[in-house]
Amino acid sequence: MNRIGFVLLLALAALLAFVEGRGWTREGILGTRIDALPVLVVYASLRGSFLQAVGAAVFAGLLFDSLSVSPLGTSMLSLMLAALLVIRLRGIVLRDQALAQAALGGMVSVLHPAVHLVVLWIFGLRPPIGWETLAHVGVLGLCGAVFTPLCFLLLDRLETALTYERKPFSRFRSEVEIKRGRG
Amino acid sequence: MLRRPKVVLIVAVAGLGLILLALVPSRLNDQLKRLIGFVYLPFAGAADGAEQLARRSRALTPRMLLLEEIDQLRRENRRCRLQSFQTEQALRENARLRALVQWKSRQAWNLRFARVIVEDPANWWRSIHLDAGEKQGISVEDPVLTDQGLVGKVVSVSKNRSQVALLGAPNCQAAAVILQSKSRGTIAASPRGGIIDRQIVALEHLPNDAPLEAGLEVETSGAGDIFPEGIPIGRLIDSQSSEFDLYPRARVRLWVDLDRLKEVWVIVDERAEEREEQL
Repeated sequence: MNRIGFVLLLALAALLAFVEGRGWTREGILGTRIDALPVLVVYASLRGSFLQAVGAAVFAGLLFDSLSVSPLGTSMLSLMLAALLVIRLRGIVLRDQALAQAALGGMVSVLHPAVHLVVLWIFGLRPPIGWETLAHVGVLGLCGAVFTPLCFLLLDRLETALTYERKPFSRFRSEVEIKRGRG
Repeated sequence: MLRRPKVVLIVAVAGLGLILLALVPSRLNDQLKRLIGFVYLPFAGAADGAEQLARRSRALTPRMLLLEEIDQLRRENRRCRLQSFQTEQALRENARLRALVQWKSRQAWNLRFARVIVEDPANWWRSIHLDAGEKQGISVEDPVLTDQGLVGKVVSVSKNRSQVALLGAPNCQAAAVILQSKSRGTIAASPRGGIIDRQIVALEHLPNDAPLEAGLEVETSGAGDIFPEGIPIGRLIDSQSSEFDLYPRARVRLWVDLDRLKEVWVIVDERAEEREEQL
């Protein structure tokens, strides 16, 4: 991922966090608020460098926490853990396969709220959770699995549209090429 | 990859930063959150612009429809005025009777209007941010309501913003009373049904002999000095009591749909106006 792609990714993360804060993603299944930030972290971890993946996780986490009751840094921690896990796996994952992307997206979308709740628990905060929270986490995982290949498709196309293709270097000048044939 | 010193350094710095951020005192945490919130300014501006544009596009409503609406509003206005005469009379009578028995007079609500800017994006918290703060006279623990009923209370305030904990949040418990039986209890989070449907909360610490039939109305009792008496909360949907529990508990469906809050009213105390003038 080049610099323009990374800046676009961060801008998209800010936009998605704002949309989630406005409650526009709430009309989901079982009253679940769909969270698209883990999907972006998966994209950054598979397509970008280590620094870009960590940067995206930190930025998205801070944005999410700035609107939440959770202390600043809670989501950052869970998203960064997810990014590190994907980076660890990316050597053995067929990253261009939609199925692999969906599996990673689903896994990270489940891991993010689970780690978030554990961190809250460690810091003494007790949000009202119950068996129904598992249903929320399940819906988040399902949505993450569906949205991740779509996100890859969209962001890959966007990056291709915004960057030029590098031409292979040739040591032969084009005007001195021998043209074969009778013409 | 994790063996490279550069990577280890980044992980260490990020980890340390995370621990520091998670441990910062609440006030500093709030200030940092507000600072990060500036990232949303362009999006908030664009969203407001789009809303205004949508409102303007509604200006193309047919004249006949507008005239009908005006007629309907006039009728409503006349009816409200008549009701207001009746209420004023009842208020005067109430004040006279209170004076006769030397009972403490009830203070009128000092209301401030506020719009909901954003809500908590996490699935497990219940909180919203309002576009009014200290400058508008709002302070911590001020009750928040709509024309349908109680919403919650203010938990943190800055100059032009405030954060509200909604009913059912761990930091927003309200003293309530069942209107018909006068049984008192506390509104708290309901882990049964209240996570998926945010309109459901629990009514706890009820007396053991309290009749708990579905449909009974619940309002604030005035105990605890945060929420004034008589704000409608909701109605009972069912009750549950087990031999291991000290008190029976009931589930309440709130009158207010917490998922569709756009505009609210904050009850501020009278000293707020003095503060407002100072600011």
